[in-house]
Amino acid sequence: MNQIVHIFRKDTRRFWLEILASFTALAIYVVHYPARWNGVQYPLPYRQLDDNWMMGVVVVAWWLLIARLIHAESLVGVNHFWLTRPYERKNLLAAKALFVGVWIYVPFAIAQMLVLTEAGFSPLGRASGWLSMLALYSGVFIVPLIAIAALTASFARMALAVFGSYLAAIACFWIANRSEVHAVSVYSHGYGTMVPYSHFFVVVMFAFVGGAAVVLLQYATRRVWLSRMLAVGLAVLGAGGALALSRMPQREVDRQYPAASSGVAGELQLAFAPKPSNPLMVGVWPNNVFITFPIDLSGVPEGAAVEVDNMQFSMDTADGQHWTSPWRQLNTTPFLPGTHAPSLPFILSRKDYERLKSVPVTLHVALAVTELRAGSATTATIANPNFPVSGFGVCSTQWEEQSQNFLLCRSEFGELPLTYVTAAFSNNSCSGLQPQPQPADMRTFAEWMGKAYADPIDASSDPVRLTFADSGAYDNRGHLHGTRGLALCPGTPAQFTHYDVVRRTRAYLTVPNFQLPLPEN
Amino acid sequence: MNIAPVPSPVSRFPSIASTVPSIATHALTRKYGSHTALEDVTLSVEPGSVYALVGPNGAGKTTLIQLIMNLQAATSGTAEVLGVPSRQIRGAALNRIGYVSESQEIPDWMTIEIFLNYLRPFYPTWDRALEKQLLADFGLPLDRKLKHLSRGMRMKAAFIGALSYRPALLVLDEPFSGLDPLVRDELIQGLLDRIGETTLFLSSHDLAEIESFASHVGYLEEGRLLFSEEMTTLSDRFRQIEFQVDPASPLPPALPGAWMEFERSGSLVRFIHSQFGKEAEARAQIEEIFPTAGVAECAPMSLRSIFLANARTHRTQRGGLESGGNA
Repeated sequence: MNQIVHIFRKDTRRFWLEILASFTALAIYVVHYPARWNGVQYPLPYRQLDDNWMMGVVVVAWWLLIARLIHAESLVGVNHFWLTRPYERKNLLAAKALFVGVWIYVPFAIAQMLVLTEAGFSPLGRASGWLSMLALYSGVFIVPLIAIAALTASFARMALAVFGSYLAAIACFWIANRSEVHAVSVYSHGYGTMVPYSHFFVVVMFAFVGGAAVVLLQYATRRVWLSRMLAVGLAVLGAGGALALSRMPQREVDRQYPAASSGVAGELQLAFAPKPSNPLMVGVWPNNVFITFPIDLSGVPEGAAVEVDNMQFSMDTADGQHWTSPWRQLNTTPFLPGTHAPSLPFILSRKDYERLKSVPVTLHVALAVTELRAGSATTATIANPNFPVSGFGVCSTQWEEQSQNFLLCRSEFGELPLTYVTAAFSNNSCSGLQPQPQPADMRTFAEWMGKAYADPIDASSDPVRLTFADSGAYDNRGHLHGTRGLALCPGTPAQFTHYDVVRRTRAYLTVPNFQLPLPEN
Repeated sequence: MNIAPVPSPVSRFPSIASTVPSIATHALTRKYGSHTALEDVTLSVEPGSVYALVGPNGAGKTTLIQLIMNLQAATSGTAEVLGVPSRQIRGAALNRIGYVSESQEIPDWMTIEIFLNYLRPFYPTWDRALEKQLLADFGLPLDRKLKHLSRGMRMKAAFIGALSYRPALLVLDEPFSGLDPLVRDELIQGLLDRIGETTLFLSSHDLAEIESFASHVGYLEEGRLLFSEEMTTLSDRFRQIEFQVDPASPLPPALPGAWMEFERSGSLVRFIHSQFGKEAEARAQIEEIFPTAGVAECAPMSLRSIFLANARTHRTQRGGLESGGNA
């Protein structure tokens, strides 16, 4: 133990400047972070980018610190003075781990506690949130960086290795996306495929465990090439596993969305419903064709809602040709009874499109849906600058010190629970001096916020997640209007209705003699 | 604060009075791909001795030392250091072994004082009095950073860091390389003061610097240990021999294998006898081969001359073998 502390003290003395640099980066991050919800001069997407950039600076500072720390007693080469001194390697590793714990993890945890406090939450937050966040940072950054440092002799070589790993990761994504029309990819033109978030967490945990194994092997044996082979082998295995996980949506759908024999989904009725306001459309690109398929959805009982999570299209022709798409995620809000159904976007290759466009096909649509039921409702009074909503989060209608017609809510460690929020719009002066609209002219803010299904392990890179709801204004007949001149004013009651998941199931639609649309010239 | 780990069973070294060799290697071989850096090296270093490993650059001296210190793994063969297999030389096993190398990286951001303060707790046998004495002898400024020291001063600091815990074995890899004579003498004096309590094993390609104090010597050439013996035996074994013969007398068809660098110029014959015993026996052997030989003069040789003769002979033999092999 004394040897551990002795080495730790030496390293602390040696790297105080690097420690100070990482503290400075963290401090700027903490000071800057609340701008996400307090409002600064940038629109939200750019602000988000700005915050991510700040965390990137922190990570780079950690990288520098870790490289200097591990290379101080480098495990590569034969000329380092510590190799011929009575260092116990397990003590050396423990000293390095102590250093990382004290000068990286503890300040990081304190910084995130400050962020949580500033956001209006308990600094201790949720234990599961803390664990997933620390696991994410450990698996993605800290442990892999320690492993790479343990396998390299200098910062320059480490930088090359990190850069190479980064390129390899990009290559993996490229491979995943390369055949995205025929197979499933991680990203596909905004329509995500069905890759459960927990799969990503599995990859992160694999990186954590694999990185730790490389570090342990290298410190135990100092056999550099053996450790490097293990690292490369694990990286290849991890990349292959990640690709395999990203290509198994059918099994995931089978597992998570069993076909319904009866129940609410059985009452769901899908229909192909092109209308002037929601037409069948096609966009032809050099390699792919994007089709917007309008549907009508009915049979959702009062007090319930249905969320379409994933969709799959397939086509059969009379002469036996068959085409099927992978399962794709559909990022839409849930359908309430009487609301408009969306258009379903589907993609096929240009080659398949050319093959099938001239013949009538039998189109099959399969939807993986989540049935929801209205649960507890909470009424909160809108206040400035923030107002807490029990069981939900902390919300604000302010941004850049001006009240707006949106709702910006923050939650700790992960998504908000799926909630339908309604409130009456006022005129945008919020002064109470101007006459309020007559009941017939009342407009209502109505928007979904949060997610129906929080992933069991909802890893989060940030302790505070922001959810932005920018609703249109509905009149009392359910028609949508613009929000110009309207605001959610302080003192206005807002209703937060939580929706519980009833089950996940499937719904189907078959369209015989369907003709693929032709592009308009 | 003492931070030295609890001695493990492997660290229970024999005392200096032990008959266990301080270093013993058996058929030690190290290959890098197809290149053999060290081949079948077998040697033994007796406790209390000063063993000088000499040989030209690239002979394999540093490789041998790194194998002994467990900085590298041998391709085959074994080595034991203070009775411990070299592959187990780490952690507590290094409590009684000192190591100084010209190429060793030291934490040069430290001042000498911080450097010694850092090292001290690792060694249960660290002798503060000896440390102070060495600091005084070497005249080192405690407050100077190692990176701001001259090469000689850095080596002195490394010596203090390796001598102050009175190691049973001190391994030095080219310790005097590039040092000025004054610093070299100071360091050698520091080593001489430790003789008796510490076995010294040092490598050098400068024969003059080790001739004065080495008790044993080993000669490496192209990874092979050509000989390993006491200095006195070595000096006694080699003689430069000169004598006159009848210029018309023919050369014998074969010469004894112990005769090196044989040359004849007119009536003068000169060679180096590598197995010189008694002078009378040598003369008798000469008269037997050269019946017309005059009185032979048998002159002792310097270490440098011995090694140069060995190196030249080895290279000539190798050249002959290679050209024979190529033919």
